[in-house]
Amino acid sequence: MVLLNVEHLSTIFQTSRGDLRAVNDLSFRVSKGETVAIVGESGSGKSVSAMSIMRLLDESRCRLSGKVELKGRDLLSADEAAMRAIRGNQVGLIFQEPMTALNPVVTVGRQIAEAARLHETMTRRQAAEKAIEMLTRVGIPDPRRRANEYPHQLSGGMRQRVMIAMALICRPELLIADEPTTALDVTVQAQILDLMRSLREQFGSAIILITHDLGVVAEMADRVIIMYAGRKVEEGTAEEIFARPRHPYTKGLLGAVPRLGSSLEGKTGRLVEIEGTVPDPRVATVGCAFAPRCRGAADICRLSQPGLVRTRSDHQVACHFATELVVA
Amino acid sequence: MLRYALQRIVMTIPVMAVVAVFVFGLLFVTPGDPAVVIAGEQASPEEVQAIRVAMGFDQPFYVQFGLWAQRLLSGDLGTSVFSREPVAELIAQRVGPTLSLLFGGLIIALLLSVPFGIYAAANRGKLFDRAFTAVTVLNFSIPNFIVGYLLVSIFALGLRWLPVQGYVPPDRDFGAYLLGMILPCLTLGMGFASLIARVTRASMLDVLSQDFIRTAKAKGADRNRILFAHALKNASIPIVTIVGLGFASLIGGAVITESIFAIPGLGRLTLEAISHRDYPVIQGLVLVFSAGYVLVNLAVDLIYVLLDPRIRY
Repeated sequence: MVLLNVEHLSTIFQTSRGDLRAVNDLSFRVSKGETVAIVGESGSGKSVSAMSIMRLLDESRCRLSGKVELKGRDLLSADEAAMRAIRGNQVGLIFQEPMTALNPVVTVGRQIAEAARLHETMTRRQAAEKAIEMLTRVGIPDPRRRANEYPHQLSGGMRQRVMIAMALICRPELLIADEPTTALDVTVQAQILDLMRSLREQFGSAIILITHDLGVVAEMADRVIIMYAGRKVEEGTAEEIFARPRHPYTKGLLGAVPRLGSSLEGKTGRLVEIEGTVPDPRVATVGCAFAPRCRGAADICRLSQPGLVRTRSDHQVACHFATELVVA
Repeated sequence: MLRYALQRIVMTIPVMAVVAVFVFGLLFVTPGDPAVVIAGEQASPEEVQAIRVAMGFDQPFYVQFGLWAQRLLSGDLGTSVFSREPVAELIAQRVGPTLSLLFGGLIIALLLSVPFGIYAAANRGKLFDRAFTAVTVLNFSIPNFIVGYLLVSIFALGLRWLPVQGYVPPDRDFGAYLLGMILPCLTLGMGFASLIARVTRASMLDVLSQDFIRTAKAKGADRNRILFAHALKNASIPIVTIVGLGFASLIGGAVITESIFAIPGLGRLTLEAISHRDYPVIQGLVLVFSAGYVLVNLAVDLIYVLLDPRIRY
């Protein structure tokens, strides 16, 4: 069953230096209980997509178009009150930097309880008890004491656990996690991923996981969407993407991951990097946005934007040479 | 918290000691011989010398300071050379109107500034915000004696709603006291309000752009909840700071405002003391004003701790 259906979503920021197309014609679906990873470099539009879906951008400065349906209900045309009823209730959000994402002058217990009280009728005391229960579930020791502490008194990992508790307290059907582990130490990252996996089992929430970390993707995702310069360039099951990447950008990303056992003495001797940088989104590109950085780019790539092609039932890719075997 | 409060209170003692030395020293180096002033213009040099010895003005600085400080610690601020009354008594008689004026001015300043500052920040770039910016700049640029006369000509002379000037003690007629304080407090508070309002707006804008505000939105909080439950407490530290720092200028404003409205407060006493070269009174007043300033900033430091749990000294 389709939980979230995004069709032709575009987000255009109006800046003093012209329109900035941060998300361009993005379509994807998330089914109930499924984990979909959105992967891309900084500036690829992955976070903006999530913010657009939840209508959390300052809409006096940007324009959204397309369709976003949550269980068949269009969110782009919903009014602010309807969106508030959805946020934190049907859809929970976790952000990257748990230090700045928590209010520094409010105790964590109250911040978690607030999420519950905004959507369910309950007394302050009931909400506080529920917050403590959530702190227990996200594995915070001595939750009754911790609930009365402020964010600066907790470690980074604990703060992220608090964010997760806050996002899940209303048992949302969809959890959007924007780089949930990026700001954390590696060991803490593993703990948080474990926690998210176990809570996914308990709560049955679908997850949109926004990350640039392919290690996180491999551990969590059922399906992967690769974004480049605001567009989806490839989508497939996690297995497919890791086993048979089609888009040269995806191949580049996979090549840029260090692997144990690969010889550093070999003919390359170093990690493969993707040369060049993400194009300026204010400059309208005619052809494929990745063409300037692509080693296999041909004339056609600079002249026309490749559409998404289905190469297998569970795999789509936007590249003129997707069906040919050797690219780059 | 209690320990911190005690620490902070103890820390004000050396501050006040330095202020005392400074106040005393300042008058010591001021040109003009107080003995001549006390003796009057017709006095002979012998009479002047007699007064000088009697008042201890012939002693070296440290002896004079020691005697002065000793009397100060027992609550004796000296005797006015003009009216011959004890300075402490003079100040006690006049402190009520000034405190009323300062508190009233502060309350009006806060009421006029904080709500508008918040509203302007919440509607950044819109018509209200731009009008707000223009009005605060204009208001801040007008000296407060002009504001005072303007208010008097409109509300007292024109509409005849309020008295032109004068002061009625609250224990004599509380209603008349309140009516009489409205214009002086407005005069004093309006200029200060602009400053607080600008700081409120800037501070709110800064807080509203932070990540935890986005988190609050993501939880489903509405605009008022975001403004008042999440942003205001974070934004209030700079507001409290500017109120504390601005208190000095508020005292200066009170001196002028008391003159405009003929209020028998410390400001008027200051002007009188200066025109009579009444040194003991001037010393006493500067000490009292300094103590007031130190106390206000002590309060500000204690409020910080209540507002922001991260502040621990």
